[in-house]
Amino acid sequence: MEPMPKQLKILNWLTIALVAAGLYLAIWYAPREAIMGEVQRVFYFHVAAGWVGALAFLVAALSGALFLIRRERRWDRVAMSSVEIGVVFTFINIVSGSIWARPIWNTWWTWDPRLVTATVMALVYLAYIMLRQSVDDPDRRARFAAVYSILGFISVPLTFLSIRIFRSIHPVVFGAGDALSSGMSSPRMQVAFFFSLLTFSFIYGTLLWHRLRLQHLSEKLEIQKMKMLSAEN
Amino acid sequence: MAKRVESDSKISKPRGSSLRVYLRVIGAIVWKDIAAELRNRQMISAMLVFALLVVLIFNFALELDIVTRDSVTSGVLWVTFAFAGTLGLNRSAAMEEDRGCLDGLLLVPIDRSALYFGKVIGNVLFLLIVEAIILPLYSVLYNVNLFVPGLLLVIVLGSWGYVAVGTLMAAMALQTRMRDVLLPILLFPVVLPVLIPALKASNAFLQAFEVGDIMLWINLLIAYDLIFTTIAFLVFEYVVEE
Amino acid sequence: MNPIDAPVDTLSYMVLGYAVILGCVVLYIASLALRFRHLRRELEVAEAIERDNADEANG
Repeated sequence: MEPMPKQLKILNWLTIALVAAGLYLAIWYAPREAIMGEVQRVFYFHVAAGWVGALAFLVAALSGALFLIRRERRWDRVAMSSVEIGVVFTFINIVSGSIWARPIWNTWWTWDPRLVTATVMALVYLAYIMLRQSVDDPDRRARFAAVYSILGFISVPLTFLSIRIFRSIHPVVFGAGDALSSGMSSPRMQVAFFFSLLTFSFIYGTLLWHRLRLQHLSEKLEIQKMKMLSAEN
Repeated sequence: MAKRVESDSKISKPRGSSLRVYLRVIGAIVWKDIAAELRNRQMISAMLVFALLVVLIFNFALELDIVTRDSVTSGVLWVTFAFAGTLGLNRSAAMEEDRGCLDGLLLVPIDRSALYFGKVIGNVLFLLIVEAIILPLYSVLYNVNLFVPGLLLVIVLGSWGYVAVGTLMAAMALQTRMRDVLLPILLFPVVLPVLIPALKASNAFLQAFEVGDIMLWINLLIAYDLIFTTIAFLVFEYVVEE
Repeated sequence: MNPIDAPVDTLSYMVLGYAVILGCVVLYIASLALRFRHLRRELEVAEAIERDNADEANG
C-alpha cells in the first residue's frame, strides 16, 4: 500500500484549516439572526452538507455513465466512494435540518420540498448500496450500479420540481417562508454561507480521495486472496 | 456476437426495412407475453386478487366518513396500482429467466431496445387490464363515480411511466441475490416524479377542479413519461448484456 | 412564536446541530481509519502466506 501522497497530506491540512475558518465565520463572524436566534447558524453547514450530498450524487452518476462507456474499473470505484460519502452528508443534511426546524417551527419534521427531496435522495442512495451488495459479479455490479445512479440522478430533481409546483399552487402557510431567501440579508452572512460551501466541497474532495485509496486497498486484498485460492488449487 | 436464429423462431432473418423488423420484434415479444398469460392467467389473477386485498385493507385501515374518503380515493387507487404493479413486473421479468427466453431473445440480431419496448408494452397492457377491473369494483364498493375521462387518461399516462421505469428495475432486480424483494426498493424512490403528478391530477379530476389547472399536471406527467422512457430504453442494453 | 423567547432558547439547538454535524463527519473519518487499518493488516497476513507458500514451493 503506497504511503499517502504528498498532495493528499497537504489537502488534509488545507481542509482542516478551512473547517476551522468556516466554523469561526459561522459561529462568530456572522451576525445573529434577528428572528431565529443562534440556531440559524446551523443553516450554513446544513446547506453545505446538502450541497455535498447533491455533488456526490452527480459525481456518482457521471462516473457511472463513464463506466458504461469506457468500461474502466476506476470509474466504478469513484462512483461507489462518492455514494458512500453522499449518504453520510445527506444524513447530516436531514438531521441538521430537523434540529434547525424544531425550535423555529416547533416540529421535528416538515414536509418542505427540500427536506422531502433530501430524504428521497437518501433512499435512492440506500437502494444503490443495497443493489451493489446484492450482486456478486463485479462487472454486473458496476453496470447495474451505473444504470441506477443515472436514473436516480435524473429522478430526484424531477421529484423536487413536482413537489415545489404543488406547493406554489397550494401554499402551505407554516414557518418563516423560504429559508434560503430570508435571512441572507447581511453580507457577513453571505460570506459565512459561501465559505461553508467551499469548505464542504474541500471536505468532500479530501474524503473522496481517502475513500478511493481504501477501495484500491480493498481490491488489492481481493486479488491477493484470489491468488491464494488458485495457488491452493 | 449475435447468431442468426433460423426457422424455429418467429424472427428468422431480418427482412425488409429495419424499422419494420424492429416493430415486428416488439410485436412478437408482446404477443409472446400475452399468449403465455392467456394460457394460465396466473399473473393477472394474482395481481387482481392482491389489488382487491389492498383495497380491502385500506377500508379497514382508513375508517373514514364519506367526505374524507373522497379526498383519499386517488391515493388509495394509486397505492393499489403501484403494489399490484410490482407483482406484475416481477412475474414478467421472472418469466424471461425461467424458460431461458431471455437468452433466446438476446440471440436475435436486433437492438436491445426492442426487447425493452416489447416488455414495457406487455406490462402496461396487463396493468391496464387489472386497473380496468379494479376501477368499476371500487366504484361499486364505495359508491363513487370513477369514470371521469380525465382520470382514465391520467391512469393510462401514469401506468406507462411506472412500467417504463419498473421494467428496467425488474430486469436488474431479478438478476441479483435479493431478486424480487429488491424491486420496490429500487423502483419507488425513482418513480416518484411519475406518481406525484398522477396522484395530484387524479385527485383534481375526482374533485372536479378546473381542467385548466389540471393541465399542468398532465403536461408534467407526459414530460416525465418521455424522459424516463428515453433514458430507460437507452440504458436497457447494459442491464441485459451477458 | 414569541420573538422575545426565541434568541434565548435556540442556542442549545445550535450546539446540538453543530455537534451532530461535526460528530458525524468525525465518525465517518474514524470508520475510514478503522477500515484502513483492518485492510492493511489482512493484506500483510495474505502477503506473508504467499511468501511462505512460495518458499515452500522452492524448497
